[in-house]
Amino acid sequence: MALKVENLNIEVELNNQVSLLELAAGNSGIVLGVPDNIMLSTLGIRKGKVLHCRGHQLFGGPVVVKTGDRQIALHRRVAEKITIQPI
Amino acid sequence: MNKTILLMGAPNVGKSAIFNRLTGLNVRVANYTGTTVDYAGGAMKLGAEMIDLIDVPGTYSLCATCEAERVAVEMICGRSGSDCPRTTSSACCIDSTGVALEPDHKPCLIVYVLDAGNFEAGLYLLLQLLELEVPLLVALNRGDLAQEKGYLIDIEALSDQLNVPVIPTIAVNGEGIDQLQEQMLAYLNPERENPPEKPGIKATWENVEALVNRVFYKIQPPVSSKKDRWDQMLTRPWPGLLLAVLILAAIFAGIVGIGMGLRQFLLLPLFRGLIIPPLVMLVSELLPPGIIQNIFIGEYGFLVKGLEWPFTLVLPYVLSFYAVLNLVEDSGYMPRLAILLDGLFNRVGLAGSGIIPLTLGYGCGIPAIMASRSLSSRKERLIVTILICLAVPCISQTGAFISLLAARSAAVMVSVFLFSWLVMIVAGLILNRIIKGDQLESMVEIPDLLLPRLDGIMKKLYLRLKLYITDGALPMIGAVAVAAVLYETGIMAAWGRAISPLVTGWLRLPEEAAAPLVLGILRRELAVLPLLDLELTTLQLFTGAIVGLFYVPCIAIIATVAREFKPLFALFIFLLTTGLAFLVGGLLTRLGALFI
Repeated sequence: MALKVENLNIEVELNNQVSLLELAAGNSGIVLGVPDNIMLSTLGIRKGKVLHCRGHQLFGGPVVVKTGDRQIALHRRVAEKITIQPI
Repeated sequence: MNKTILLMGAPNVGKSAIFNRLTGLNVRVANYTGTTVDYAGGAMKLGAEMIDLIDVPGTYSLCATCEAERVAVEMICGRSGSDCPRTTSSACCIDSTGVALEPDHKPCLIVYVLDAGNFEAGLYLLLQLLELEVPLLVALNRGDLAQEKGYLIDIEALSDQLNVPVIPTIAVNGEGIDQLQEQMLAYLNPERENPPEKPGIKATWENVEALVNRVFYKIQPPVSSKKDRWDQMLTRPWPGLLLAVLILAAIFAGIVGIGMGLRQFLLLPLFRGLIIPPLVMLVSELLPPGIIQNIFIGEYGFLVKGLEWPFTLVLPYVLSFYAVLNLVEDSGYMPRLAILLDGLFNRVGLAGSGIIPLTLGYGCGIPAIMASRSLSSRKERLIVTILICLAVPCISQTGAFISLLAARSAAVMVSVFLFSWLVMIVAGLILNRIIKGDQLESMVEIPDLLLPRLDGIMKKLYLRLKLYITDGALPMIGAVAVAAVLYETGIMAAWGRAISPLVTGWLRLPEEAAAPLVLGILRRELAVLPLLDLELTTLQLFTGAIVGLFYVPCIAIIATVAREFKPLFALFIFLLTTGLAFLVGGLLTRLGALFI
């Protein structure tokens, strides 16, 4: 199965999906599944969005991602519940 | 009753800056989410009419995720918001389609502030509000920032799509404010021609994205990679944590250094040389020596100590603290520090954003406890409030510490602060276990780094200075006057004898040190300042400082706690701080005696 990403104009094979927590710093991915949470949607973490992982904080701190030009810090427990297709 | 206009929008888009421009008032602004935690009302003249303009705390949707957002949701939806659970584990949501606004609550206009530099973030709430069919117009703010990022927003198309006027503004320098006022005025005119009815856009994310696609363009941004590189360095653990230590050290050094300079070279010569001597001369001419004269110019004479303490000991540090804090606040560094420390803060039951109220607490505890409203759970609010009351000295008290300790031994001063952090960590670990609450799952937006504007910083500093004179210095002069009366009439000495087992026996301080324990309830710094004139050993200085630090925060903070939480909780804070101050003070003095 392939997923068409509109704004990037590319198609991505859906394989080896990971949770956002497993996405390494510097890598990007498309959001496939996200918990139903109004805060996440308003922060721009929605299905089909491209996320770029900026890094993981120490001491069990949050994951910092970029979506568009917005920078968001997500608690690890939240990041764990977001499914990502790496690109 | 005046007509009401609400100023609404997502967090950190500049609502308060626009509010200040429109009303000429001065509510607090800063570059992070959650600066406004309660609504602020202000009158503004629009045409011939007086209007109540209300600055509503920012929220991303009609679902409140913290106390501050709840204020916003209640503001627009009236009572329906107050049925929500106070804890926010389950977000308190209002379905915009089902709400019928109560007539009393219905504002005559909403000025909706959209951030052009973070365009999509505010659109969902905008569509929700449009569904409520309240008259609305859009201020598209921060156009300067959008330009810097290479954004182009088709304002006409946006206005056409939404069927409401859109006015571009830059609140920090006042651009577009006149046009905004004109449009607001046009809305108040009853004969205004309504725009032709158009089917509204339903508030869904699909529609938000469709709207963005129609009106928003990103052109190649001018070179901004330098800013991004800085951002990465500050936000990544390496070298971010090292930079954080350096920045915090620089902040501390800046506050102490600038404060000492102001005191030594400006305020001390001014008050000791020019202001106080003529007053003393005048009083000694007019009044015969005795109790009355002493109340004015004696030991605690409020024309001597009552001027020296607030203006030469505390004011320099008020100025230096807020100058530095304003700089840090406006730069957008605070949220970055918050995410660097988030993991560590989690262990004491807080999200990293708890650093913001804690930092504000080093200025004054009252705004700090108010600011805790933007934290997402009640547990976090309770922990932050207890920590502030317990071990965060306000800037007045810090000024007193510096005067008391820095001259004698810088090491003692540093150890007082280190000890306070140790106590906060231990208290946090304990509180995290005993206060029940949901697991932290923070999600926060990190605002853009901005170069602070000098005019903004100076304006905020001026407001602080004014606030300090009315709410800090004047009560302090009053408290010193009370002290003078108690001292000269012998009541203080009697009190000192009464509690001397505690003071001389347990804390091993001289009998006169009973005075600060009374005065400290009125004002936090007065728990320390009277110790200045006593001949104390270094260990006694340390004990006195520690007792003063943990002692009752001050009567105004206790009142704030009672108002924000419950009177019973305020009583608990009172007992906890007093008890711990004596317990720790007595133990430390014995422990210290083993080494010295």
